Amino acid sequence: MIRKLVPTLAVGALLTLSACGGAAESSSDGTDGVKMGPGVTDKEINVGLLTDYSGPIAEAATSGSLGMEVKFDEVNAAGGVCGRKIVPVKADTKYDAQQTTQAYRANAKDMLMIGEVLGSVSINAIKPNVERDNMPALAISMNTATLEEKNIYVPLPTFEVELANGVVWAAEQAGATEEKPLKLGVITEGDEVGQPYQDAVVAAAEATPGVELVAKPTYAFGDQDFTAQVSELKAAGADVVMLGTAPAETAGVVGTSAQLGYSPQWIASSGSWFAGLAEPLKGLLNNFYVSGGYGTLADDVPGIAALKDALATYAPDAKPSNFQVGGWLFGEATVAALKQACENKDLTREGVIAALEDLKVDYQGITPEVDLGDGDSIVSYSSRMNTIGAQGELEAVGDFYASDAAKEWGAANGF
Amino acid sequence: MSEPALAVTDLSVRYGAAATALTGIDLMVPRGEIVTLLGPNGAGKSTLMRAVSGLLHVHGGVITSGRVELLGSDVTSDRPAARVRRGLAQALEGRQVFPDLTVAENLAAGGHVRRYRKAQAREALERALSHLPRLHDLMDRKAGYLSGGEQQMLAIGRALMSQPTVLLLDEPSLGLAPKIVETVRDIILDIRDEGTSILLVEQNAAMALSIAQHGYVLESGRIVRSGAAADLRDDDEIAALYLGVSASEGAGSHA
Amino acid sequence: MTLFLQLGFQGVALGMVYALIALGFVIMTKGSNTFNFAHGEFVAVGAYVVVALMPHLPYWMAFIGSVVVTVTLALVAERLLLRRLVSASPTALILATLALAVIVHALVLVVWGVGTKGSAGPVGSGTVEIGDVVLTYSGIATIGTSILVLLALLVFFRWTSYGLALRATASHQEAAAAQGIDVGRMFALSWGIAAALAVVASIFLASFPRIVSPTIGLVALAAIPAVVIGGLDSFVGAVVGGLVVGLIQVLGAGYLTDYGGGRLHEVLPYVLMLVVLVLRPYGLFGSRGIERV
Ligand SMILES: Nc1ncnc2c1ncn2[C@@H]1O[C@H](COP(=O)(O)OP(=O)(O)OP(=O)(O)O)[C@@H](O)[C@H]1O
Ligand SMILES: [Mg+2]
Repeated sequence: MIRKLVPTLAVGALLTLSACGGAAESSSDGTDGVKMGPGVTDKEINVGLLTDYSGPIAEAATSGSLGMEVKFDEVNAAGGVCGRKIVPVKADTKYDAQQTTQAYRANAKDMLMIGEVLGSVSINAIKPNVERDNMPALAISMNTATLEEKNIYVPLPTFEVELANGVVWAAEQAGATEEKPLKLGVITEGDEVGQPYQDAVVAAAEATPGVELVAKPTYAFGDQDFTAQVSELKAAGADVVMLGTAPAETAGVVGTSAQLGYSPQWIASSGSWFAGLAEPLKGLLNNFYVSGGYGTLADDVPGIAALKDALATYAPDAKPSNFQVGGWLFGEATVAALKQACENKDLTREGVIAALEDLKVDYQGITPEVDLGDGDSIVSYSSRMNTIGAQGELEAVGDFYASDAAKEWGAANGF
Repeated sequence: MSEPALAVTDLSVRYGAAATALTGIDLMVPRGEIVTLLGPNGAGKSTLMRAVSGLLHVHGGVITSGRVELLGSDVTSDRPAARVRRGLAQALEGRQVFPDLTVAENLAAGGHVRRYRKAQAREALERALSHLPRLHDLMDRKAGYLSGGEQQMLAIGRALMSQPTVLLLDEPSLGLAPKIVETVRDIILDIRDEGTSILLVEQNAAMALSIAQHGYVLESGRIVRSGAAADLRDDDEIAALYLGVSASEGAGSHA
Repeated sequence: MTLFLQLGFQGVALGMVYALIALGFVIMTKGSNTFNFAHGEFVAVGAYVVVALMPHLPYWMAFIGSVVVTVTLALVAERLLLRRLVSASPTALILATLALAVIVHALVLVVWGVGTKGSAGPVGSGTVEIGDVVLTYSGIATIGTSILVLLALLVFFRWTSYGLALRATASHQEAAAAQGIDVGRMFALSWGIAAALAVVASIFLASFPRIVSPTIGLVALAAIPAVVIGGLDSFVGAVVGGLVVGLIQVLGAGYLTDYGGGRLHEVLPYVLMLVVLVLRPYGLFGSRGIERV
């Protein structure tokens, strides 16, 4: 039990200072009889948001964080969870392993759970701590490599699912057959971040009749020129290119292709796109699609209506961004877990982990309901295709669907 | 024309917190004369040069009292550039040429402060080279590759490029063969004959006293002797200490 | 062959950007004896100011505006930080520039937010074709402008009094001061020139299809291997080093992807940098430190 001692002592010290004056044991009971773990008082529940507030992907990450925060604001205005307000503990990871470790160390003792930790880089950095501290964490790294980590949950479809579904959609659109195959290419970062994306596309291509994978170039993090990769795709004659890139690379690849006179159909995962790219890539996005695991601000569903209300009330000046939707959904999952834990009268970390097991989260139509299951599986195989609007916003084409190719790939990989 | 070229009054200098390098120095260089400053290693000769040229701060030194006047103007707290513009130039101890610049570039850098036009620059160069004909054939050579004597000439030539009224020379004979020392001596005289006032720091007292009108002896940061060069040359003690002659020999020639 | 020429062209264009940044490092290192790690962030400031001014002004005025802002920033930094630290140890100076980098980066984030912006280049996405090789306007503008800038620098350092004074200061600081060269002003001049070069580099580093993002300052540090390979004190070396790094990155992405997990082109500049450090610590073109007789 030595493992538990460190956070416990810290919380014990805190509680001694506060009105309760609790004893130094692993948890205390609130006045309402709910067992309380680190970061929980009779009035508040502290939830960590470990994300990139000032690093390379801070624009998207800050938007996502805001989506979560307004979800908490909405819930708090309606009385909170368990009569307690959810308080976001924001810690800047700068999308950097070192910074994440520091951010975690500085704040862990005051957090019941991590509502979001963003990116494989950060997740890998704190994964030993999360396991040791028994810290439940919702991860925004829609990369399957994250799933197997202990105490780490991914409550939305992963980017791999989006890409696999995108392959199937492209084949259908093109009416691809064995006789008239669709030539497919995929470009990803050439490391552990990009590998699962490439694997998923390769698997989906094999599983889909009439799809022939002709090129799968990679690039290195920090590359500034994509002439080589684009030349490879072009030479191979790929009709459709799957993008497992980060947004800046998306701009480089699509822009360079246009300059080299190559214009395939592009299909990106939702992590490869953000609205700011619409301006530099103006005129080049007619045949550009984003396969998204969740809906957009333009959807007419209760979840989006609630999000817009919350944004209008609590963050009226915020520029609309689809990452707010993603953040909101993480907020939903966090709240659902806390509500379940409250129902079980156990707001400790163990209690939250128990609550997350087989937890069903209803996303109010933004994306189909998910079942978190054992925490090591993909929670949903549904995604939807989008085109790009004038301001870079996503515009849905068609409906959510879950392809067999994506499911088969998941099953084959034990998800 | 009444004020001296250079006048140092009651000057004290300190390096860092502790070390006092100069105490109450009074020294004067009349116009058109060569004045020499003698003294053993560590006496403070170079320190005095730095105080006059404004380079003390580069070495972490400060003037704690006293005054430096150049051609009648107080320059004690002027920046080095201002002093050069007023007519002071200096050849540093150990030559200190710009090793990776050519001889021509070294010389041009010496004239930077004057913002010469092309014709003026050429004129200044010709004047400098008239004292130092040896440099003529070396113009395109990197200064770092010159011999010691050549570097010394370049250091003097570079200083002349700003067409100074007062020239400071810090041990120009240092490490040179006797033959070259002769040449340097002639060059110094030549420059003086053009009207330039010269403060010559030397350990080679024989050479220095042979061309100077006046001399000072510095020891441990204080002036211990001063007088006409001829008198100093004939002084037993000086002879013993700096001229490589023993006191008795000196006495013998006197008697 | 077409592919080789295509990649070669892009490699030279990217290499020229690194060369301009590397030259900034070299000029500051020579002129003020300081390796300024904040130089990458000067590049970032340059790009952000151009992008901020572009919608309101003709492009050339946006560029001039950025040069004014970035050079001013460099001069203020030089004056406030470095000139006060002249007698500090080299390590303290380097640490000071690292601190400066963090501060300027934070400043960029405060002023412009964490978001990505558009491209900062003077030309759009157009191209011309020569045979099968596509020459992008960005690439042509990068190479053409860089060559002009290099020529201007050459003229400045070879044939102007200030250029000579700067080289003299770089060669021997005290001797320069003794000639009446204002050494402090030369420090400032070297930082100012480097900052102006940073702005030129920045518009091409963020030229279509590349965009301005907060990481641009880090990207600029890819010029460090170029500096070391060429030699810390060599102008020619900086240019050659920049070209080497650019060509390795682009040609390597085309021809070396089957080796080393496809990341050889990323690692190779640093490998080369280490090799050079071991075999020729003063760089391919740097001076061994000419012996004084
Ligand atoms: N930068 C410095 N910091 C501290 N002390 C110094 C410094 N420079 C010189 N000194 C000291 O000041 C004193 C005078 O030194 P200075 O160089 O002026 O002597 P010098 O007469 O020129 O000697 P030499 O004939 O060897 O050139 C010496 O004791 C020296 O150690
Ligand atoms: Mg001396």
